[in-house]
Amino acid sequence: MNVPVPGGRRLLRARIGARALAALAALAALPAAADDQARHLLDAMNQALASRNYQGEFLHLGHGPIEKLRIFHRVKDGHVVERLVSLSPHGREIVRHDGELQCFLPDELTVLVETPPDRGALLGAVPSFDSSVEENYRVELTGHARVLGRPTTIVSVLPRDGYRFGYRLWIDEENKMPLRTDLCDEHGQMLEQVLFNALEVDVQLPDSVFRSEVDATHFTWIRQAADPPRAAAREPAWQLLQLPPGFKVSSSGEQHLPGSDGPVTHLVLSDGLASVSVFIEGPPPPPRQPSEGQGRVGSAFAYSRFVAGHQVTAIGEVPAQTVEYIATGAAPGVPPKEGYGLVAGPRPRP
Amino acid sequence: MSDILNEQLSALVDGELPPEETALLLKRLEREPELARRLAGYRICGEVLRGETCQPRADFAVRISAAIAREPPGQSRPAARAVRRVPSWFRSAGGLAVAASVGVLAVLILQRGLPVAPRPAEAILASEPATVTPSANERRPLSRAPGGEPQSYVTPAVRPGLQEIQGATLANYVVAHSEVSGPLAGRSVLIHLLADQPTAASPAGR
Repeated sequence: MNVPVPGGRRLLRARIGARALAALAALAALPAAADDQARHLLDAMNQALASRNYQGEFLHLGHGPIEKLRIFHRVKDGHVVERLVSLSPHGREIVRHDGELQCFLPDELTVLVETPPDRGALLGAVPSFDSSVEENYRVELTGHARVLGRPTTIVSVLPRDGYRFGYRLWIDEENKMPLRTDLCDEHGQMLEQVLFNALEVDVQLPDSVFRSEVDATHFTWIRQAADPPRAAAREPAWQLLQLPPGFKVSSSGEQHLPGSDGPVTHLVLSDGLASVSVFIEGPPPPPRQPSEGQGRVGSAFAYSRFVAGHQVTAIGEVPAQTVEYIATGAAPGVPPKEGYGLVAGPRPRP
Repeated sequence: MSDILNEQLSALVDGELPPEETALLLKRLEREPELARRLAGYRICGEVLRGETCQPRADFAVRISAAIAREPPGQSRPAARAVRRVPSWFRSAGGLAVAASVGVLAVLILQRGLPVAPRPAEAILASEPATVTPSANERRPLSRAPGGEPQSYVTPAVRPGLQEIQGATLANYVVAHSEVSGPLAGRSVLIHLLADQPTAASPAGR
């Protein structure tokens, strides 16, 4: 039996209003929660890529022919070892043991060996997906789909301007591995795709699978030179007079590269996701000559200038205009007491 | 074409085909070029149906066929490795400079004038170098020696005394850069070092 209560209708309206407001607030919070979930997924994916043991085969669709590759990755007692094998007839391989990377090129009877000397200082630049990424990208949960018969969550990382690329990732809901990865430009046009067609995660991988199958006995092994004596004269400090929006210098160091006479200054810039390296070295030794212009390796672009007797090269998985913009702003500056002068200059929006 | 085959092609495009079925389908694609063309169609349809904005490349079917053709039937590892097959781009670039180049010149497209995404005008104009970037239709074909080898891989000179980025140097930079990239991007760059794109620098083939 209902008993009329004075003011009941007003109270009911107030309750309905409060519930509506709460519902609206909850609806407004949904995208933020979804974005948080997306960022957490991306972090978990990066963690899985770096720390899990796995082996698999994948197709790479890029600018050239479709490549089929095999990957082995193991982390044991804190040591990372990885082997990447092309299944194309040339049979190239890359084997990485912690800091040392060996690139086997059977078609050229050559092995390149790289050992970054100051790895610790530079590794601080490995990007993570914190909230600052949102300044330059929209991170969204796009949906769910099955890849390799496994449920995945699709995460889109959409660039907010033309200075960077975006990704669409199909992340395994259980082991967080990216089973499919699309790299897209700012217009959403796909630049390349990596699609696993077989993947085993958390498997025991013996040492034998990390040994190259290439018989490199008679190959030419190219290693970076041992540390040459440092020149007495101090290298000039360098300024980066202009950086694209969102990019900051995250670390710097020196290393030796094969073919370089002296140490090469390596500056690392990051926008939270994409990285750009700026290499500054003295005049190239003969037969190399100073160079200027663009270069490209897959989705990574490079731009090089010869400035004040130094070769300045910016390279990264970013659009061509981004590396050109950064390299063009490199200039020798007044040497500070320590380190290099790094200035974030005008930051125009495209 | 049977419905089962249609479903398999569709699943392959979506990455949903089980590995054992994928292997069988790839072998069949090897024998039947028509299937590769149909596969390209499925990829286009799939992305349109899913509302994705990524545009497939027009030569997808051709590249599928090429990929299949390159893989020796019945084996996952190439047997041709023992044969010394020095690509023409590697030989003709000549000398120690290229020996030190890690041989990745083929994956480098020295590309002044290569169409790229429109750059922000105000960003570049502020510091435009005193060089002119030739447009795509200004690019000249590679000159060729009588033996068919390109005489030079360098596109029009930018400035007297300067060359475009050399493959040797760029390869070294790429490897060093991969060390400081995230797991995803760093691996992507290394994949390109492994890739073979002879058409980029060796139009005459090998």
